[in-house]
Amino acid sequence: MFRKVLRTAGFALISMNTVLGPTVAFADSSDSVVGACIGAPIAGIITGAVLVSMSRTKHHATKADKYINSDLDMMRQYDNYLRTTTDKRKISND
Amino acid sequence: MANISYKCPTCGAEIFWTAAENCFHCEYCDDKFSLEELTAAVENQKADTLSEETVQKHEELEEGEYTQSNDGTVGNNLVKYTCSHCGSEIITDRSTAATVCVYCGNSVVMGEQIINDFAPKYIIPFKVPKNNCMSAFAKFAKKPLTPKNFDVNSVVDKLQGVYIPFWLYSGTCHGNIKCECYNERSWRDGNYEYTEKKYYDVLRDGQLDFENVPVDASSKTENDAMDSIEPFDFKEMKPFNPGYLSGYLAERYDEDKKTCYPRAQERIENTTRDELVKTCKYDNVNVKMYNKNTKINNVDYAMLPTWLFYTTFEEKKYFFAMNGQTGKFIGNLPIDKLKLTIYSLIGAVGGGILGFLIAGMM
Repeated sequence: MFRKVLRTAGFALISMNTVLGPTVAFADSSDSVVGACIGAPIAGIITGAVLVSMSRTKHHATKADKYINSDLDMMRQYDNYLRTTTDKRKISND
Repeated sequence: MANISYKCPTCGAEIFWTAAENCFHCEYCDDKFSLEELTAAVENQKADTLSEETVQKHEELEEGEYTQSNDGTVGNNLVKYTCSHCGSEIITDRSTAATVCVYCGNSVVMGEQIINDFAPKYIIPFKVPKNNCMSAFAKFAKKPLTPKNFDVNSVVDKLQGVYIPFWLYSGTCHGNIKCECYNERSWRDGNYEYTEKKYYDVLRDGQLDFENVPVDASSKTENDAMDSIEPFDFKEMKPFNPGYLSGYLAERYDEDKKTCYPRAQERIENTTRDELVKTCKYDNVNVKMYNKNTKINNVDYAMLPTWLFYTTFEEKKYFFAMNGQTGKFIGNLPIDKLKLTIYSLIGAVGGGILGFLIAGMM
């Protein structure tokens, strides 16, 4: 399964590079071209993966949620406060 | 002594369970019978009359007598029965519980495979008739990457209605999770963005009851395939009667409940963990420890209905299965690599344009 996913991803990447390689080579490194170069392979791989998953419907079951016969009987619970952390980040203006 | 086969009480012809009509239907005289009517009419069709003395025993094959079973697999685990209708030899696997005589079409239930330790407690009768299978398969095969020449009518080598043996585990799982959770909030002040996280030490301890968690008990069927055709509606489960097997194939279990238990246990314990995590109402939940204890109170043996499809496409074998009760279809379809490339490229072009526009706006 993992090998198949890798193979699909590799296949999609090669396809992307064939089309986008020349584009990247001649790009003037503007943000838009970089955005296109990043967006294209990601979208290509996602499209391929979604379509492949539509044709693959055999999965190992790991859950039994359809066979629950009662509500969760909670016997004990607590929520103890531990600490608070605060991060501060400067917002860039460019 | 004979195998069990079912005859129409009116005309004596072979009679089968008809999924579409939910009754036994005689194709010759068009009479219909409920299971109760049939068993009342024919005494030896009652399940409780099956015993060591009344059922036909298999015969061992002589060395080199047969090398292949009906489904083409080479078997050294085959046994021999005699068809009670035409007297021809029926060669099957040791775990086959019901089959059809290839010579006369007589439905044959191997009584010795469904008695004593192998007697199922429950059965869900077939609800989806055979003539609905191909249209359901055609609908299922309509996926974007399915090759154009994958014609469902020509690729199906074999379509079989098979009762698969399942263990149904019922019990309770007591679990507790210890987690570190936090809630997060962000705000801006001047040129700074602040993110605050409040951490909590959380414990949840509870228990959950499960009923009829199914695990297939046949080593011949793919576990993932049988997992995927779930769920079955166990409200429609009936006490087992061999009459339901007529006209279908059936397997008896060859993996006992102890062997199959880890698969049920994994599912039960994963679900208990998930349900406990769901009660932690935080932005982020990090489970540090999970203790669990599963107690199985009851294990039932049941036969559940499946339609199995065996196909060959471009010299590659494919296997599909359909839930014989709900009609749910599963299987891995062949993939047209050209279509995959084209769709991926279309997706890539779309993604590229989107990336171009988003990056340009930022």
